[in-house]
Amino acid sequence: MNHPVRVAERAAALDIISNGRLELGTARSSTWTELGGFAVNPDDTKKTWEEFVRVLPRMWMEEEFEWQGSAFSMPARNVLPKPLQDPHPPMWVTVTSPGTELDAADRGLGCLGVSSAGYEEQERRTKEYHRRIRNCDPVGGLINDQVHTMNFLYCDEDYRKARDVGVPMVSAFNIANSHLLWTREAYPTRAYQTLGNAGAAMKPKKAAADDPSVAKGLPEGVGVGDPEHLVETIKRWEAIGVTGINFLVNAMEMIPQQQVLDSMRLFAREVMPVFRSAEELAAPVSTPSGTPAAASVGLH
Amino acid sequence: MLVGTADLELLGRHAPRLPEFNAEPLVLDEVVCLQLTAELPNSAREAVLPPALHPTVPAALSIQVLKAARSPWGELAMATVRIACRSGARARGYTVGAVVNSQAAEGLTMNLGYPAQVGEVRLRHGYDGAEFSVHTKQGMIAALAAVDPEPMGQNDVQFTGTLNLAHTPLGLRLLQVESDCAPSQVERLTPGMLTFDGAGWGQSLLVPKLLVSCSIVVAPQWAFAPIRFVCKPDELAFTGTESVS
Repeated sequence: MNHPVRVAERAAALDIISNGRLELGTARSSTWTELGGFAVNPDDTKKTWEEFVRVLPRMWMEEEFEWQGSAFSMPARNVLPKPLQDPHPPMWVTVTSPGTELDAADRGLGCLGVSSAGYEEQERRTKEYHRRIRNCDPVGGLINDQVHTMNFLYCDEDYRKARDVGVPMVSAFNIANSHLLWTREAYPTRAYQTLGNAGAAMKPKKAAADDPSVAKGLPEGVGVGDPEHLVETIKRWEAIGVTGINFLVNAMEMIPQQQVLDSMRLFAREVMPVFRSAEELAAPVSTPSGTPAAASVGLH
Repeated sequence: MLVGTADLELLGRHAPRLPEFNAEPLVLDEVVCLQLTAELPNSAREAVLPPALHPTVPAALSIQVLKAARSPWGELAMATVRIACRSGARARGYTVGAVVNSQAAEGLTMNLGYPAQVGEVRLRHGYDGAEFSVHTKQGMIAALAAVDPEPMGQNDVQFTGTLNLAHTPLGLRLLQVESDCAPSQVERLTPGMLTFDGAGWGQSLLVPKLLVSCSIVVAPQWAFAPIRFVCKPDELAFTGTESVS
């Protein structure tokens, strides 16, 4: 869908203007909505991803890059600009299809989970990822051995209120997501063995009877609840080897903006400090202008 | 959130009647099934679906042409046109029309709620490809030839569950029709020119715009499970689903 030289150029520019904070995610798409739109043959997406993910770091690191490949070829050129980070920004691959976490590990790429899995499944994937990445053949000049997962965030002092607002948001996201026409549904192929439904992998949990989220329509591990519940939830993710969580803070504008901001403020005040070191807590905090669209928390 | 906008009263007027929920599976033997997927213009996206269902982006239809050497009603050939949709978040196909070439039409209507009309359904599958045609009293309403068969694995083709709108003992409901088969042969083919008359299938808004894929499945058996769930056609699946098993 995107020429790798263009991706290398734009990513490097973004790394420069963000003062070296860029992390680059790669993906092959799981929907006919996207692949059909660009007339991409679904059979080829793994192959082209493999080729592109290996040339991007070289474009960033080499003064003279040339390539004779199967997806594209180019004569020797200096691809500019070069990124600020040395040797280059950390690279990730999004993981929807089972097994892609192993592709990530074998190539020294971060595992960016976009398909929500329960604790047990995520633990299995994370363990295997960390085992495999020790012997990886990295695609670039650095190994990114982090595992991030995708989650939802709605935080309120009152667990029931959080649930009443958060559950419809989760459902709305899953329904809107399901409107996409899955590749496997439209096109018979070996390259896509599952319908890429983000919500399908989450399962109702078996938990202690006093857990307030039991029988309330929330799958296990979802970041909806009061601060205490969220701390407990995130600690559980941390315990199974997840190094970061990417939170969706709203979906389909289900939650009024003020409530989204209140939720994020409460999360920042009550939950985030639990996961910060003493040095981080003492450091000054810069607040960018504008309204953030998503929040993430890094686990240390 | 996108939802269907079709007039339920109008849909109900043409919906078949299911006198009772059959508890037995329906088994077909020596089955060949061709499935064609095509994109539709957005004008047909919400307009053809009942309010309980969500359309896909892009809108798409699938034509399934199935031939069985044996069924409870003898030899069977049927063709259905389904709109890709979502019931809740689940991938489904909503049946717009069905043509069956024998007395099986009544059986499929009474047991599974297919809006079946009697017609002539032909399906040929060979080493060089496959072709089908569907004729009713209105003339030919669908035909296609597909070439260059390419062997695929048993799990490389996806059949989504079907939703048929029918008058049931519970009222007007979407019946969730589930089928299962263990393919002995799966092929992907290149579809040629499609002849398709939407009006002949009861919905003139259906104009296939882009042929996406064509596949053939050969299976010793094809089983339709007894209806387990139905959905109210005017209520989203999260609250409108009822168990009938």
